[in-house]
Amino acid sequence: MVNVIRERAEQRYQQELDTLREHDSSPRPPGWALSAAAVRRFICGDAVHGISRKYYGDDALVERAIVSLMGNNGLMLVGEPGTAKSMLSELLTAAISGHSELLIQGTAGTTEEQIKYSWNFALLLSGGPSLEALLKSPVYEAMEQGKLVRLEEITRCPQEIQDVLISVMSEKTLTIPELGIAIQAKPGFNVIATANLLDRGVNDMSSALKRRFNFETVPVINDAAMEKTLIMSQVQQRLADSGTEHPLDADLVELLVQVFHELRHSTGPQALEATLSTAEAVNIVHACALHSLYWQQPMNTAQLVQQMHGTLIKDKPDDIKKLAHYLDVVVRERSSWKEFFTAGKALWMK
Amino acid sequence: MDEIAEPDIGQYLVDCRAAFLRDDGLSWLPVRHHSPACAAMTIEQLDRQQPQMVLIEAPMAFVDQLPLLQGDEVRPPLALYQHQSYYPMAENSPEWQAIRWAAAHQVPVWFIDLDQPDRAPNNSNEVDSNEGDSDEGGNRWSDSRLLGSEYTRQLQQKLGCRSQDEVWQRLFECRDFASADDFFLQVMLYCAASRACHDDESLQQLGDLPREQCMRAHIRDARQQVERIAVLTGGFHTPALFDFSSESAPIPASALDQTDAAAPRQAAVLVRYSDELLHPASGYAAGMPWPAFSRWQLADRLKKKQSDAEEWILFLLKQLGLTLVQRQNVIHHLQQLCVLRQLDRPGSNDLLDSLTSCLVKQQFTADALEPWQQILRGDAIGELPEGLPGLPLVDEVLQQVRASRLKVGPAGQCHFDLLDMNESAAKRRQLLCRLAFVEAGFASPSGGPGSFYSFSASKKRESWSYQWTPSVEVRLAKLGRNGSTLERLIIIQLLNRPQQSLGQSVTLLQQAMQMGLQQHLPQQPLYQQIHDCTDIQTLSQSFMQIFQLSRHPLFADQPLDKLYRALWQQLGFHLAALNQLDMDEALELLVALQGIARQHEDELHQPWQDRLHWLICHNRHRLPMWFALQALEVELTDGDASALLQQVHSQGFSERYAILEALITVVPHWLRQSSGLLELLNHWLEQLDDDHFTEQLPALRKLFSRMDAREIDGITRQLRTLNDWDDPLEWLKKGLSEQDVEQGMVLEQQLQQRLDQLGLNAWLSY
Repeated sequence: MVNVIRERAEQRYQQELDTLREHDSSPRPPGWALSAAAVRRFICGDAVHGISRKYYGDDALVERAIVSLMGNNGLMLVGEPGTAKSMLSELLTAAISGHSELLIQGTAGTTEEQIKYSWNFALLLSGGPSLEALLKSPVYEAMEQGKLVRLEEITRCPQEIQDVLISVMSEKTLTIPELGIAIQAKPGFNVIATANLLDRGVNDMSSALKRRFNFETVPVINDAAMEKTLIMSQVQQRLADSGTEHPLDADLVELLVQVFHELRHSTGPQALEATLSTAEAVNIVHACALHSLYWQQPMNTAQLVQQMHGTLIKDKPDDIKKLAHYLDVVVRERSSWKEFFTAGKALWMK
Repeated sequence: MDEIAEPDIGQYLVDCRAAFLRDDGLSWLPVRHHSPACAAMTIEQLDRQQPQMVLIEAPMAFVDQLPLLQGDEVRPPLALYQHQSYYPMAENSPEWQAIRWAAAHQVPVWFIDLDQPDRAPNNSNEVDSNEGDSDEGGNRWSDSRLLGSEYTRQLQQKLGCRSQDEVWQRLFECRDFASADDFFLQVMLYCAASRACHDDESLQQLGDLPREQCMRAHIRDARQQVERIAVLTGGFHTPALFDFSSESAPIPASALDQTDAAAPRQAAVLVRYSDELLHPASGYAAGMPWPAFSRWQLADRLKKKQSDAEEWILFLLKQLGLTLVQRQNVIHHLQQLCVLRQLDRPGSNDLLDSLTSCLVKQQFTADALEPWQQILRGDAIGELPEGLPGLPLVDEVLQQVRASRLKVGPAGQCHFDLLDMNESAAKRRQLLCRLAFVEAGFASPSGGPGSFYSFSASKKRESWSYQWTPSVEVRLAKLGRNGSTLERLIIIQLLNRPQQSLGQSVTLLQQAMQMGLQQHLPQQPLYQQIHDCTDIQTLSQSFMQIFQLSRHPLFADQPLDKLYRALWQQLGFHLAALNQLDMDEALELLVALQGIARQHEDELHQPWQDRLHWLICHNRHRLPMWFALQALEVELTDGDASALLQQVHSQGFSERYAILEALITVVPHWLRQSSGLLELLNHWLEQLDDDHFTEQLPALRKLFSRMDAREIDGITRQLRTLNDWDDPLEWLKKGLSEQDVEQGMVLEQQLQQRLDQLGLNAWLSY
């Protein structure tokens, strides 16, 4: 185990990637570390070669995404927060390019230099523009090495900054006028961007940029059993990453998944504004597991409700009333949910 | 076929494989109904084997229709119909291809399934409670047992498919096979594995076992007669037919064998069908998704023996009408997707996947692919020779449609002037209403079905759109089991519709009136409901509805006076409950009742006046309501309004506005008269500070929104005089020429004359 808080996908699944590389006899697209079929197996799992499933959702979506990356267009993953867009993007990059470290996080303060290149001003002032004085951005490096670059939360960036990508993606060339040269992308270069649907309208993408991406909508998991499996495996992975181990209460996770599914399907005035994604559910169960581990208590419903409160209730006080309504109308009637009702009542029906 | 041909599939499948290959003279054609791959392979196998007889899984009685099915004047989609059951046949149905092949090679065809039992209701008044259910034919050919098996579910999981249909597509439609023999063997193994998931008890319950016995008896007899036969059945049944030689039961009697004149033989009829009806979304349980796409798949398979995926993809993209740039994007994506999915040719799921990736530049929504899905769904309609006998109810309705001079075939539109309709137009409208009532899917008014269900008496013109399609025929045929004529069917439905409340009964009555069948509705329960109803809102709504209908020229000859008098009586009795209503609602009701009383001075004036007086004297009211009632009485008796308005002065400031609001609602014209109401309002407004005025503004705006520009203009002039304003406020739109004004006045005059002629001169009174 590497002594870091969070390993990158290619570090965590190094062994699986090696196995796949060893057994991969299919033709590989230029610049790719694995064939398309092997990339699919890496993400969707392959029992024959002992490859674990990492993305729980629509396999067809993964296939479409892989194929999109083989073409000229980039891949844009859109979806509600917490639907594993970033995870999917990291897995794709790790499998296709061998590493996933070329990453730009989109923010309101992202600049053109962060996408293209900037300068080491000391060297620039002493020796003038030169390749030595040039600081390469992840996009620059990806073009140079023929790798995938990830651009997270692209719609957080101002539109004029997003549009810097247009020429990079259509011409596959990055011009450096200061040096009078242009970098041409090597085979294997492409862009995976993610955009959060809740940020829609913050900085909408131009149609010119949209044309250069193939869009994939990553949905919320609707299968409760699949979501439960995913939450359990993710939390266990997190515990293992931190060098600990703790048994998870499967019934408790099932209860949380059911609550999330019911709350997600509430419509109209009773719909929660809080994000009810699988990522939030993983956070809640992880927090419960840590609580249980370090306070030496078995995982219980009261912890679950407390963690739900901490995770879901952010700056929307009305959500407390909606949770109280859910308790009052739905949970109260269920005799087997008495503990959940009691714990929730203390927090949300005061 | 690695997924199927695993070594651990069990002895059962090994036995099935051996049985399938045992007899060289018998060619098994296990199919999925409407599968293009099965249809293409059926032709290939029949060409190769040259059977002397073709046996097909369909009711025996259908053989009567064989000459027609094999004729040159028919074009699919068509359906064989028997006892509320449909057996659709598309171009891509293996059954259709086998029938046509047999005709071309002069080979006899046997239909080897049991006839569809007659499920017509014994009681003619019995109404089909499952009208929306898919038909019996669909259930017999349903893919649910095949595709819904545990085996298919596991395959779905293993292949990462989104639906069971996608499993089928990937296994059979998107692959090339070495030969038709190899294809049908793989289909049989898949079907046998699916069948193994069902026990005999469930098969017995579904009625499969007696049907399979009948099929085995046919195969046994056919095999004894000729050297080479082909047996085309749903793949799910094929494993149960291998042991035909041990079958001892005789072939059951067909409906065609009946000679009893009292019970004539069960007729099977060939009807037109459509892509719309073939699509699973219409409820057809044996449908392949995207009928047009399936047709193209068959054409592509028949065109060439060797797969040419690129040509197929180009053909598909051409059908979808994509631009060159869009095609460039999609073609590469689709080719690579097929490589990744190890497919020889893309299926509909793959095509839609690539369209999603390449062309949807936003969050994916259910309707994002709708334009292309529409093309894949298709709009083909079958063709039959003219003059064929049809289904009883269908024929009868078709006759009425033609007699009403409505078009049969292309979509049409009908426009009605409801205030002035001749007899033929009235008949035509009645027919459209009748067909809308039974939900035949033939016609709907432009405002949607709601405008037929609740007739608005203020409606002067109406448009209907209609189209005679196979769906209408299918719907009527299904309805035919409940009544042999349209009129009879409607009467049964009228008598069986729920009439638990007065509102429901009145709505039903007005529908019956529009259909010209109100005489069949028993009146006594309606009077009883009026007598029992104590809800003032229901009573007032019912009264208004009936009263307006009775005054509408469309229903001039309908005797409704007795009914609305009964309602008036009951309403008057319960008017004391007025205070239970919201203030707005109560005031609106009062205005409406007063209006009607004034329109019918002779009949209703005195009773209404007495009732108002009684209400004022004997009931406690909210203050605004009391003033509203008083104002209505003053209005009715032509009394002095100023005395009443004086009393408003004596009320507190906060109550005064509510009273003014009530008064302006019930007697708005007092504002224009010198009654003192406008002065009161003006005075009250003067006392408001700016903040309170802003607060009150929306309510005021709502109040005045009921008046037209001319009335507001008059009030403005009065306010100007009252307040000595210098600034002339012009509310009416400027820029009208003298000619415009003259034209407007002529139009208004014409309108007034027309209303006078129709006895509707009161319509412009407010």
